[in-house]
Amino acid sequence: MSTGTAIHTEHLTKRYRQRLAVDDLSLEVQRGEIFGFVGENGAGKTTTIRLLLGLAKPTDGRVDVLGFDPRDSRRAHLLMAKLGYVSETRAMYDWMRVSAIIDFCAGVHGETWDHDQARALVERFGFDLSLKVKELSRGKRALLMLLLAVAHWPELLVLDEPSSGLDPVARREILEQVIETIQAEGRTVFFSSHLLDEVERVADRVGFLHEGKLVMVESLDALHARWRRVRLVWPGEPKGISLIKGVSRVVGDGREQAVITDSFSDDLCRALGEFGAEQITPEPLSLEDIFVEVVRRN
Amino acid sequence: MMRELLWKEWRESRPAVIAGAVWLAATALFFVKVQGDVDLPRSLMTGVMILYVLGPFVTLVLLAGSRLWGEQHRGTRDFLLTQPVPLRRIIMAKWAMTLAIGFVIVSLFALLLYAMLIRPESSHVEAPGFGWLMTLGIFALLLMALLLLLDSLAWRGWPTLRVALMVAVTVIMIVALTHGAEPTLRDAVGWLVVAGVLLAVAWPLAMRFRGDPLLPELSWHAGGESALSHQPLGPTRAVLGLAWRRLFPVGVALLVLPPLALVIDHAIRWMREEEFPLTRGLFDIYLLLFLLPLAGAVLGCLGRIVEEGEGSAPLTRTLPLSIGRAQLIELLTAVGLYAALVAVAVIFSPLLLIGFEDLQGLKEVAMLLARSAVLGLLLLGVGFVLVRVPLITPWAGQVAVGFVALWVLTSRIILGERGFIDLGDWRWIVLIAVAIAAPWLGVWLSWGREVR
Repeated sequence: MSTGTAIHTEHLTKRYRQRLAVDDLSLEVQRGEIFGFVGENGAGKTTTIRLLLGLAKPTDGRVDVLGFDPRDSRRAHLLMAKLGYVSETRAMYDWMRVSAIIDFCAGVHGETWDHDQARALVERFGFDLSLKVKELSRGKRALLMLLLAVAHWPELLVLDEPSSGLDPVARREILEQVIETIQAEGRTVFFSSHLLDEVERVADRVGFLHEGKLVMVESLDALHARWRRVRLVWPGEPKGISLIKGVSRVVGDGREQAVITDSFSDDLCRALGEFGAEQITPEPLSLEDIFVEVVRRN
Repeated sequence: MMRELLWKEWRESRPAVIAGAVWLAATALFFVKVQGDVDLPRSLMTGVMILYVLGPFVTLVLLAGSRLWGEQHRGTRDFLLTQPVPLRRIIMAKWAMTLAIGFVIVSLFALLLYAMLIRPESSHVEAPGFGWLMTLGIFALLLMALLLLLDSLAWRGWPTLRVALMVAVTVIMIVALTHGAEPTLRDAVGWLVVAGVLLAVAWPLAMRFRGDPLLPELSWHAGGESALSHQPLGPTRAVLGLAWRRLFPVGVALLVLPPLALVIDHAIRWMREEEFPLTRGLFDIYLLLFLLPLAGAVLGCLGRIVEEGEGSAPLTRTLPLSIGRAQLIELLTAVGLYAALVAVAVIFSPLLLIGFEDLQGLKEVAMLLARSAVLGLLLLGVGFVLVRVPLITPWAGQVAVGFVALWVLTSRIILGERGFIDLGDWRWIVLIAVAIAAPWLGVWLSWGREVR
């Protein structure tokens, strides 16, 4: 993994009239990282991405992407040359044929366009070059946009809900392509999704966005290590376990209970044992479970 | 890089170019083949207004407008802006292609008209000075250039400059080159506003500067008739009246087309299960598309009434139309036409300024003013009908009133929201009923009277 920062935001804020879409977001994404940007629908993920790409103007705060200010229209094209973007809407020129839109992008990218890579992806994704973009299925459309986004080997690949609404085959293709893209050293992927299983499969680090606020940023490994569900069997009716340090929430009642913890450790198990638990069984939490817990807490 | 951009612009403009060429060819064919055989000079005279003013103007506005709406409306703006192309090149490609196409269209218009005027059988018609063609071309290109410069406003955010837009278009043009403005679909409304202002202000100014009359001057002789089409405040009724006749159906056509487009658009969206109903921005655009031709159609109707009403309507036969009155009426109608455009432009300027998102209150005021202005025009038209026409052309009254009804129906039913006039308001029903009944009452009361 190469060193350096790919994305840096400071107190980034975007307000639409009465609605705060992005609220004081400070974030740093390192080069070579796969960063999963997670949030419910309407949490502000797309707005944040648009701010990162200079497609929207921040109400407040600062953005730096690959060393560029994306709002500097005189230099934005230099940033775009190092960047690949798959939008949530996947809007392209519908009237163009697949071959034409590939040629169009190849033309505007110039020498950085890897024709071999483009051809290989056309083959791999099974594109009919004579079809018009508007004739493509939703999945193929997403794959085409991905092709256009990666054929110049971008330093930063930004994906906004890349697999939302797609069938499992197309989703898998996209994820595999993302993984391939970052296999080359120093390439960074920033992708937003509300499909947490796919984030879990590929991301190194995740950020949880809730109502425009970045409520947590952490590596997946650390999250999984910290967050656990501990199943407990008590000899009788337990009382006051929520007071034990490290217990976030207690689920269930009676003899069999579970505690959700965001600071799992041997000390916690020991404390639960001292409290009288007969059986203590720690279980990992999925990213989705962790996200729900974090959102519930906020 | 530029090659790809120009190619894209050309492919996106191609439908408009084809449509423009077909329309141009059809118009020319109509004048030469259908009407020309009967009375070519007169036909050419009547076509001047359309060929010279409406044709290039409408085509250019559509072309320039589509450059903005195309990217924004189809959602491809983000795709384009995330390509590694400098913003200035994107804008340059748009300008270059639209200007090139516009130049071809304007030249075609001019050449076709010129060719028709120098046909052997119409040699007794003096062709307009070539300077006119040049002026027209320069004006059209300037207009388009202005629109295209404003287009650059569509690319980056700078709301305070939008406020300055209507105050000093020139200043904004310079700013647009360096900064631009973040687009909203509703900005497109402003295009037509600016175009209206330019047409209303720049054209007369250009003509004033050249020392020419407002419209091309033609002298013609056909059969026993002869006239000079345009002298300042002179008896220009020959061409003006005939032109009104042409403006009138054009206005009607323009009035009918937007609702038709809306219906088709709705049907397509419904079939594709896409967004329904229309976005607010599109609604505003269609609203303005309604307004401008509506004003034109009413004035066209009014002009026709004035032209045909000399000494014939019962209420005016005791006061035969004199030369003095003719001059006055001509002046009023010409001023009225431009005043209407300016009024619509001014009324809608808040819509342009605010981008509609931040100052909802101003928009309400603008809508109120727009309603008042258009209804005022309609009532004025109906008033003229009532005064001058019942005996001669009672149908004109019905058509004028029909505009009101059509407007009500289209705004309420087709647009699917509380429209320009609330049909549920009984006062409007009464107004429409009175407006429809009154001309018939006039016909009935005047029946059998001698017409002088």
